Amino acid sequence: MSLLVYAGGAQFTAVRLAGQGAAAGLLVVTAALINLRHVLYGLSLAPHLRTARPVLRAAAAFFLVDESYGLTQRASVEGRGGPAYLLGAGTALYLAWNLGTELGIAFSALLPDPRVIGLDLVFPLTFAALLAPLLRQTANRQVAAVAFAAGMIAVPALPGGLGFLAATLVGMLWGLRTHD
Amino acid sequence: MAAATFLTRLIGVSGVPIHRAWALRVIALVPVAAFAVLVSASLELRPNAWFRWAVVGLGGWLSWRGAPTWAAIGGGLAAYLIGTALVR
Repeated sequence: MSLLVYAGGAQFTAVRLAGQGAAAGLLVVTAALINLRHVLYGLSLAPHLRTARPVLRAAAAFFLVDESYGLTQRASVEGRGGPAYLLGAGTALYLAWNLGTELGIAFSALLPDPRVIGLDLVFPLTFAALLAPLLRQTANRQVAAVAFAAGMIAVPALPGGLGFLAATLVGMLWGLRTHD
Repeated sequence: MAAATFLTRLIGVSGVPIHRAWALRVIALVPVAAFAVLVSASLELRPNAWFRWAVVGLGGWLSWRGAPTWAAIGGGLAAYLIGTALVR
């Protein structure tokens, strides 16, 4: 599943649902809902990918996950982003994800709890580091604050990726409102 | 599942060019809002979770001060490991 789907949140949810005996159709719909944020990511990166051939764009799209989006977005702001950057970052992350999955399966009994050694903090640290430079604009600070607060409420309250999507949209709409 | 996931990625990347000013503004806000939610989704509102909040805040501050992403992550993790070692 990791090789073909390559979407952490959707995979974790699918495994849990399949364990509860959910139908295949429900798994597909849930995966689509959880990954709806990728549509927003794609729209955001599209201007930087427009010059690429459709095949390259499709290949880059396969590797579009939270982390590769974050890195490519930051590189694009600095004038380095593009289809090759997304493809490179995505391939590196893809290999690390699948290698890590295999190592986790093989050595899970030997590994300590990731929370004890702080490994689970890598994810929020990554996005805090990617977010911080964007907060130099005052308007962005408001958007981030609203989205952060909405995320604290919506993510635990709504199933699948709907909480993430709802909180992101609330932040974006707030930014649009304050901009006009 | 693989097809559903890939389609959500392909739709955005292959989207039609956006020219309207308000739509461009909304799209420009995607990273700001999405990154903020990705951070908040990983933190909990518990009394004893303050240190984790502080570590993530430190990572953000390092990046704000110009540190590259890897250094901000490494700095935050080092602070967490040192902090938890001192408490033990």
